[in-house]
Amino acid sequence: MNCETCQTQLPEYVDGALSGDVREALDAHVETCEACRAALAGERKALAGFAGLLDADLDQRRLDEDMRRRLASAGWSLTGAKGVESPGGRFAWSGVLALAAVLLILVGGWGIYQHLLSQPPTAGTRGHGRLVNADTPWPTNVFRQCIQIACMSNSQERFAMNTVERVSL
Amino acid sequence: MDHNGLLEGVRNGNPAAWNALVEAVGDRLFRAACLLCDNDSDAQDAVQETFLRFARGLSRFRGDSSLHTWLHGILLNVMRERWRESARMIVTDTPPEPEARADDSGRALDTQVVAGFLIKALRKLTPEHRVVLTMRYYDQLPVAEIAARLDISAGTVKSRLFHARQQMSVWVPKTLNPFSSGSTE
Repeated sequence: MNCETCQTQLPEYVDGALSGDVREALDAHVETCEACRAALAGERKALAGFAGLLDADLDQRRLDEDMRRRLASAGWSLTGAKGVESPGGRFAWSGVLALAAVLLILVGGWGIYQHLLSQPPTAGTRGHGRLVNADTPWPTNVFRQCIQIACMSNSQERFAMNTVERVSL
Repeated sequence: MDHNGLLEGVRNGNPAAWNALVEAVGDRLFRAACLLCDNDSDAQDAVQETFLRFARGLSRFRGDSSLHTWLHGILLNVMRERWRESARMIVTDTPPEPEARADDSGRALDTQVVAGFLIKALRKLTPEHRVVLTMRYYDQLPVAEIAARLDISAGTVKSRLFHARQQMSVWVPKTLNPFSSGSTE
Protein backbone atom coordinates (compact mmCIF):
# COMPACT_ATOMS: atom_id res chain seq x y z
CA MET A 1 0.00 0.00 0.00
CA ASN A 2 1.45 3.39 -1.00
CA CYS A 3 0.91 6.69 0.79
CA GLU A 4 -1.75 8.05 -1.57
CA THR A 5 -3.80 4.85 -1.29
CA CYS A 6 -3.38 4.85 2.47
CA GLN A 7 -4.40 8.49 2.90
CA THR A 8 -7.37 8.05 0.57
CA GLN A 9 -8.63 5.27 2.84
CA LEU A 10 -8.18 7.22 6.07
CA PRO A 11 -11.76 8.58 6.28
CA GLU A 12 -13.28 5.11 6.11
CA TYR A 13 -10.56 3.78 8.40
CA VAL A 14 -11.58 6.32 11.02
CA ASP A 15 -15.26 5.47 10.38
CA GLY A 16 -14.46 1.81 11.05
CA ALA A 17 -15.83 0.93 7.63
CA LEU A 18 -12.83 -0.77 6.04
CA SER A 19 -12.81 -4.50 5.39
CA GLY A 20 -10.46 -6.65 7.47
CA ASP A 21 -7.64 -7.15 4.95
CA VAL A 22 -7.59 -3.49 3.84
CA ARG A 23 -7.58 -2.37 7.44
CA GLU A 24 -4.69 -4.68 8.24
CA ALA A 25 -2.72 -3.40 5.25
CA LEU A 26 -3.34 0.18 6.32
CA ASP A 27 -2.31 -0.57 9.89
CA ALA A 28 0.90 -2.11 8.64
CA HIS A 29 1.67 0.90 6.42
CA VAL A 30 0.90 3.49 9.09
CA GLU A 31 3.16 1.59 11.48
CA THR A 32 6.14 2.33 9.23
CA CYS A 33 5.22 5.67 7.58
CA GLU A 34 5.52 8.90 9.55
CA ALA A 35 3.72 10.98 6.92
CA CYS A 36 0.68 8.71 6.96
CA ARG A 37 0.69 8.59 10.75
CA ALA A 38 0.54 12.36 10.71
CA ALA A 39 -2.22 12.27 8.11
CA LEU A 40 -4.24 9.86 10.28
CA ALA A 41 -3.82 12.15 13.26
CA GLY A 42 -4.88 15.05 11.05
CA GLU A 43 -8.00 13.20 9.91
CA ARG A 44 -9.09 12.59 13.50
CA LYS A 45 -8.21 16.14 14.50
CA ALA A 46 -10.16 17.64 11.60
CA LEU A 47 -13.23 15.57 12.41
CA ALA A 48 -13.08 16.70 16.00
CA GLY A 49 -12.29 20.37 15.49
CA PHE A 50 -13.06 21.63 11.97
CA ALA A 51 -16.70 22.45 12.65
CA GLY A 52 -15.91 24.29 15.85
CA LEU A 53 -13.13 26.19 14.14
CA LEU A 54 -15.39 27.40 11.33
CA ASP A 55 -18.20 28.21 13.75
CA ALA A 56 -16.01 30.93 15.24
CA ASP A 57 -16.85 32.80 12.03
CA LEU A 58 -20.12 31.16 11.02
CA ASP A 59 -21.82 31.83 14.36
CA GLN A 60 -21.66 35.50 13.42
CA ARG A 61 -23.55 34.83 10.22
CA ARG A 62 -27.26 34.88 10.69
CA LEU A 63 -30.26 35.47 8.51
CA ASP A 64 -31.34 39.07 8.81
CA GLU A 65 -34.83 39.90 10.06
CA ASP A 66 -36.09 40.86 6.62
CA MET A 67 -35.08 37.47 5.23
CA ARG A 68 -36.67 35.64 8.15
CA ARG A 69 -39.97 37.43 7.54
CA ARG A 70 -39.84 36.68 3.83
CA LEU A 71 -39.11 33.00 4.39
CA ALA A 72 -41.94 32.59 6.87
CA SER A 73 -44.49 34.50 4.79
CA ALA A 74 -43.51 32.64 1.60
CA GLY A 75 -43.92 29.33 3.36
CA TRP A 76 -47.24 30.27 4.90
CA SER A 77 -48.63 31.61 1.62
CA LEU A 78 -47.65 28.42 -0.21
CA THR A 79 -49.19 26.09 2.36
CA GLY A 80 -52.07 28.51 2.91
CA ALA A 81 -55.19 28.28 5.05
CA LYS A 82 -56.30 24.99 3.55
CA GLY A 83 -53.10 23.35 4.70
CA VAL A 84 -51.11 20.53 3.19
CA GLU A 85 -52.18 16.92 3.21
CA SER A 86 -49.97 14.47 5.03
CA PRO A 87 -48.25 11.95 2.78
CA GLY A 88 -50.92 9.56 1.45
CA GLY A 89 -53.93 11.65 2.53
CA ARG A 90 -54.59 13.35 -0.77
CA PHE A 91 -54.15 10.10 -2.65
CA ALA A 92 -56.60 8.27 -0.34
CA TRP A 93 -59.32 10.87 -0.85
CA SER A 94 -58.96 10.90 -4.61
CA GLY A 95 -59.32 7.12 -4.65
CA VAL A 96 -62.50 7.33 -2.58
CA LEU A 97 -63.99 9.95 -4.88
CA ALA A 98 -63.14 7.93 -7.98
CA LEU A 99 -64.75 4.83 -6.50
CA ALA A 100 -67.85 6.79 -5.54
CA ALA A 101 -68.15 8.16 -9.09
CA VAL A 102 -67.90 4.67 -10.61
CA LEU A 103 -70.52 3.30 -8.22
CA LEU A 104 -72.82 6.21 -8.99
CA ILE A 105 -72.58 5.55 -12.72
CA LEU A 106 -73.22 1.83 -12.28
CA VAL A 107 -76.19 2.34 -9.96
CA GLY A 108 -77.61 5.08 -12.13
CA GLY A 109 -77.22 3.03 -15.27
CA TRP A 110 -78.85 0.01 -13.66
CA GLY A 111 -81.72 2.16 -12.43
CA ILE A 112 -82.32 3.61 -15.88
CA TYR A 113 -82.26 0.15 -17.40
CA GLN A 114 -84.77 -1.17 -14.86
CA HIS A 115 -87.02 1.81 -15.48
CA LEU A 116 -86.94 1.34 -19.22
CA LEU A 117 -87.65 -2.39 -18.94
CA SER A 118 -90.61 -1.73 -16.69
CA GLN A 119 -92.33 0.29 -19.43
CA PRO A 120 -94.87 -1.57 -21.60
CA PRO A 121 -93.66 -2.63 -25.05
CA THR A 122 -94.39 -0.25 -27.86
CA ALA A 123 -96.06 -1.64 -30.98
CA GLY A 124 -94.00 -1.86 -34.17
CA THR A 125 -90.64 -2.37 -32.58
CA ARG A 126 -89.68 -5.65 -34.21
CA GLY A 127 -86.04 -6.46 -33.98
CA HIS A 128 -85.16 -3.61 -31.67
CA GLY A 129 -86.87 -4.45 -28.45
CA ARG A 130 -88.94 -2.27 -26.23
CA LEU A 131 -86.18 0.16 -25.43
CA VAL A 132 -86.07 1.64 -28.90
CA ASN A 133 -88.63 2.54 -31.52
CA ALA A 134 -88.69 4.62 -34.68
CA ASP A 135 -89.81 7.69 -32.72
CA THR A 136 -86.97 7.53 -30.24
CA PRO A 137 -84.66 10.42 -31.02
CA TRP A 138 -80.90 10.01 -31.42
CA PRO A 139 -78.75 9.72 -29.25
CA THR A 140 -81.28 8.40 -26.77
CA ASN A 141 -81.89 5.36 -28.94
CA VAL A 142 -78.17 4.60 -29.07
CA PHE A 143 -77.86 5.08 -25.31
CA ARG A 144 -80.71 2.69 -24.66
CA GLN A 145 -79.22 0.13 -27.07
CA CYS A 146 -75.91 0.32 -25.19
CA ILE A 147 -77.60 -0.30 -21.86
CA GLN A 148 -79.50 -3.22 -23.31
CA ILE A 149 -76.37 -4.76 -24.82
CA ALA A 150 -74.41 -4.24 -21.61
CA CYS A 151 -77.06 -6.01 -19.59
CA MET A 152 -77.67 -8.74 -22.12
CA SER A 153 -75.36 -11.28 -20.47
CA ASN A 154 -77.22 -10.92 -17.19
CA SER A 155 -80.70 -10.93 -18.62
CA GLN A 156 -80.69 -13.33 -21.54
CA GLU A 157 -83.99 -14.87 -20.52
CA ARG A 158 -85.64 -11.51 -20.07
CA PHE A 159 -84.52 -10.34 -23.49
CA ALA A 160 -85.71 -13.55 -25.05
CA MET A 161 -89.08 -13.11 -23.35
CA ASN A 162 -89.26 -9.56 -24.62
CA THR A 163 -88.55 -10.74 -28.14
CA VAL A 164 -91.28 -13.38 -27.88
CA GLU A 165 -93.69 -10.73 -26.61
CA ARG A 166 -92.86 -8.37 -29.46
CA VAL A 167 -93.23 -11.04 -32.07
CA SER A 168 -96.56 -12.01 -30.63
CA LEU A 169 -97.91 -8.43 -30.84
CA MET B 1 -37.49 21.54 19.89
CA ASP B 2 -40.49 19.37 19.02
CA HIS B 3 -40.20 19.23 15.27
CA ASN B 4 -43.20 16.93 14.92
CA GLY B 5 -45.51 19.46 16.51
CA LEU B 6 -43.88 22.19 14.47
CA LEU B 7 -44.44 20.26 11.25
CA GLU B 8 -48.13 19.83 11.99
CA GLY B 9 -48.49 23.56 12.33
CA VAL B 10 -46.49 24.12 9.16
CA ARG B 11 -48.65 21.66 7.22
CA ASN B 12 -51.74 23.46 8.47
CA GLY B 13 -50.40 26.74 7.13
CA ASN B 14 -50.03 28.24 10.60
CA PRO B 15 -48.01 31.50 10.31
CA ALA B 16 -46.69 31.15 13.86
CA ALA B 17 -45.42 27.66 13.05
CA TRP B 18 -43.63 28.97 9.97
CA ASN B 19 -42.00 31.69 12.03
CA ALA B 20 -40.88 29.10 14.56
CA LEU B 21 -39.53 26.85 11.80
CA VAL B 22 -37.41 29.65 10.35
CA GLU B 23 -36.10 30.45 13.84
CA ALA B 24 -35.31 26.78 14.52
CA VAL B 25 -33.47 25.83 11.34
CA GLY B 26 -32.88 28.99 9.33
CA ASP B 27 -29.51 30.02 10.73
CA ARG B 28 -28.05 26.52 10.64
CA LEU B 29 -29.15 26.14 7.05
CA PHE B 30 -27.68 29.55 6.22
CA ARG B 31 -24.31 28.56 7.69
CA ALA B 32 -24.27 25.39 5.61
CA ALA B 33 -25.11 27.50 2.56
CA CYS B 34 -22.28 29.94 3.38
CA LEU B 35 -19.82 27.07 3.12
CA LEU B 36 -21.22 25.94 -0.21
CA CYS B 37 -21.69 29.35 -1.85
CA ASP B 38 -19.15 31.90 -2.93
CA ASN B 39 -20.60 34.70 -0.83
CA ASP B 40 -23.25 35.39 1.79
CA SER B 41 -25.65 36.94 -0.70
CA ASP B 42 -25.71 33.77 -2.78
CA ALA B 43 -26.12 31.81 0.43
CA GLN B 44 -29.25 33.80 1.34
CA ASP B 45 -30.69 33.17 -2.12
CA ALA B 46 -29.97 29.47 -1.79
CA VAL B 47 -31.68 29.32 1.61
CA GLN B 48 -34.71 31.13 0.22
CA GLU B 49 -34.97 28.68 -2.68
CA THR B 50 -34.58 25.79 -0.24
CA PHE B 51 -37.48 26.98 1.89
CA LEU B 52 -39.69 27.54 -1.16
CA ARG B 53 -39.05 24.03 -2.42
CA PHE B 54 -39.63 22.65 1.06
CA ALA B 55 -43.01 24.40 1.25
CA ARG B 56 -44.05 23.21 -2.21
CA GLY B 57 -42.95 19.64 -1.53
CA LEU B 58 -44.10 19.46 2.09
CA SER B 59 -46.51 16.62 1.43
CA ARG B 60 -43.54 14.44 0.39
CA PHE B 61 -41.74 14.80 3.74
CA ARG B 62 -42.61 11.66 5.69
CA GLY B 63 -40.36 12.21 8.69
CA ASP B 64 -38.06 9.30 7.80
CA SER B 65 -35.11 11.67 8.20
CA SER B 66 -34.65 14.64 10.48
CA LEU B 67 -35.96 18.00 9.38
CA HIS B 68 -32.43 19.40 9.05
CA THR B 69 -31.31 16.44 6.96
CA TRP B 70 -34.30 16.91 4.63
CA LEU B 71 -33.64 20.63 4.27
CA HIS B 72 -29.92 20.05 3.78
CA GLY B 73 -30.75 17.60 1.01
CA ILE B 74 -32.88 20.24 -0.71
CA LEU B 75 -30.07 22.78 -0.29
CA LEU B 76 -27.63 20.37 -1.93
CA ASN B 77 -29.97 19.93 -4.89
CA VAL B 78 -30.33 23.70 -5.22
CA MET B 79 -26.54 24.13 -5.20
CA ARG B 80 -25.91 21.33 -7.69
CA GLU B 81 -28.37 22.88 -10.12
CA ARG B 82 -26.68 26.23 -9.75
CA TRP B 83 -23.26 24.74 -10.27
CA ARG B 84 -24.46 22.95 -13.39
CA GLU B 85 -25.92 26.16 -14.73
CA SER B 86 -22.73 28.11 -14.13
CA ALA B 87 -20.58 25.20 -15.38
CA ARG B 88 -18.30 25.67 -12.40
CA MET B 89 -17.46 21.98 -12.32
CA ILE B 90 -14.82 22.41 -15.00
CA VAL B 91 -13.03 25.19 -13.17
CA THR B 92 -9.89 24.09 -11.40
CA ASP B 93 -9.25 24.92 -7.78
CA THR B 94 -7.93 28.46 -7.41
CA PRO B 95 -5.92 29.72 -4.46
CA PRO B 96 -7.18 32.50 -2.24
CA GLU B 97 -6.16 36.06 -3.07
CA PRO B 98 -2.68 36.94 -1.77
CA GLU B 99 -4.08 39.53 0.63
CA ALA B 100 -6.25 36.81 2.13
CA ARG B 101 -3.36 34.58 3.12
CA ALA B 102 -2.95 34.38 6.84
CA ASP B 103 0.26 35.36 8.52
CA ASP B 104 2.53 32.33 8.90
CA SER B 105 4.87 33.96 11.34
CA GLY B 106 3.53 31.82 14.15
CA ARG B 107 1.79 34.69 15.93
CA ALA B 108 -1.44 33.67 17.54
CA LEU B 109 -4.31 34.87 15.43
CA ASP B 110 -7.81 35.65 16.43
CA THR B 111 -9.89 32.50 15.99
CA GLN B 112 -12.49 34.34 14.00
CA VAL B 113 -9.86 35.66 11.60
CA VAL B 114 -8.49 32.16 11.09
CA ALA B 115 -11.98 30.81 10.53
CA GLY B 116 -12.72 33.53 8.02
CA PHE B 117 -9.54 32.70 6.15
CA LEU B 118 -10.40 28.98 6.07
CA ILE B 119 -13.86 29.75 4.72
CA LYS B 120 -12.33 31.87 1.96
CA ALA B 121 -9.98 29.01 1.11
CA LEU B 122 -12.89 26.58 1.17
CA ARG B 123 -14.82 28.77 -1.25
CA LYS B 124 -11.98 28.56 -3.72
CA LEU B 125 -12.29 24.82 -4.06
CA THR B 126 -14.30 23.44 -6.91
CA PRO B 127 -17.90 22.69 -5.93
CA GLU B 128 -17.33 18.93 -6.02
CA HIS B 129 -14.41 19.20 -3.62
CA ARG B 130 -16.05 21.82 -1.46
CA VAL B 131 -19.23 19.87 -0.88
CA VAL B 132 -17.51 16.62 0.20
CA LEU B 133 -15.07 18.47 2.45
CA THR B 134 -17.92 20.36 4.11
CA MET B 135 -20.07 17.29 4.56
CA ARG B 136 -17.17 15.30 5.99
CA TYR B 137 -15.53 17.74 8.37
CA TYR B 138 -18.23 20.32 9.13
CA ASP B 139 -21.34 18.10 9.07
CA GLN B 140 -19.21 15.16 10.35
CA LEU B 141 -20.87 12.61 8.13
CA PRO B 142 -19.37 9.19 7.42
CA VAL B 143 -18.17 8.44 3.89
CA ALA B 144 -21.08 6.08 3.20
CA GLU B 145 -23.62 8.76 4.14
CA ILE B 146 -21.94 11.36 1.95
CA ALA B 147 -21.91 8.93 -0.98
CA ALA B 148 -25.62 8.18 -0.50
CA ARG B 149 -26.67 11.80 -0.29
CA LEU B 150 -24.64 12.85 -3.33
CA ASP B 151 -25.46 9.69 -5.25
CA ILE B 152 -21.81 8.93 -5.96
CA SER B 153 -19.58 6.02 -4.98
CA ALA B 154 -17.65 5.87 -1.71
CA GLY B 155 -14.45 5.66 -3.75
CA THR B 156 -15.29 8.96 -5.46
CA VAL B 157 -15.96 10.58 -2.09
CA LYS B 158 -12.62 9.41 -0.71
CA SER B 159 -10.76 10.53 -3.82
CA ARG B 160 -12.31 14.00 -3.71
CA LEU B 161 -11.62 14.31 0.01
CA PHE B 162 -7.98 13.42 -0.58
CA HIS B 163 -7.56 16.03 -3.31
CA ALA B 164 -9.49 18.66 -1.37
CA ARG B 165 -7.25 18.17 1.66
CA GLN B 166 -4.20 18.37 -0.59
CA GLN B 167 -5.39 21.71 -1.98
CA MET B 168 -6.12 23.11 1.45
CA SER B 169 -2.64 22.06 2.56
CA VAL B 170 -1.15 24.05 -0.31
CA TRP B 171 -3.09 27.23 0.41
CA VAL B 172 -3.27 27.18 4.20
CA PRO B 173 -0.13 27.51 6.32
CA LYS B 174 0.62 24.36 8.23
CA THR B 175 0.13 26.05 11.57
CA LEU B 176 -3.41 26.96 10.57
CA ASN B 177 -4.30 23.91 8.53
CA PRO B 178 -7.00 21.93 10.36
CA PHE B 179 -6.03 18.79 8.43
CA SER B 180 -2.47 18.91 9.61
CA SER B 181 -1.64 17.17 12.85
CA GLY B 182 0.79 19.98 13.60
CA SER B 183 -1.69 22.84 13.31
CA THR B 184 -2.47 25.05 16.24
CA GLU B 185 -5.99 25.23 17.66
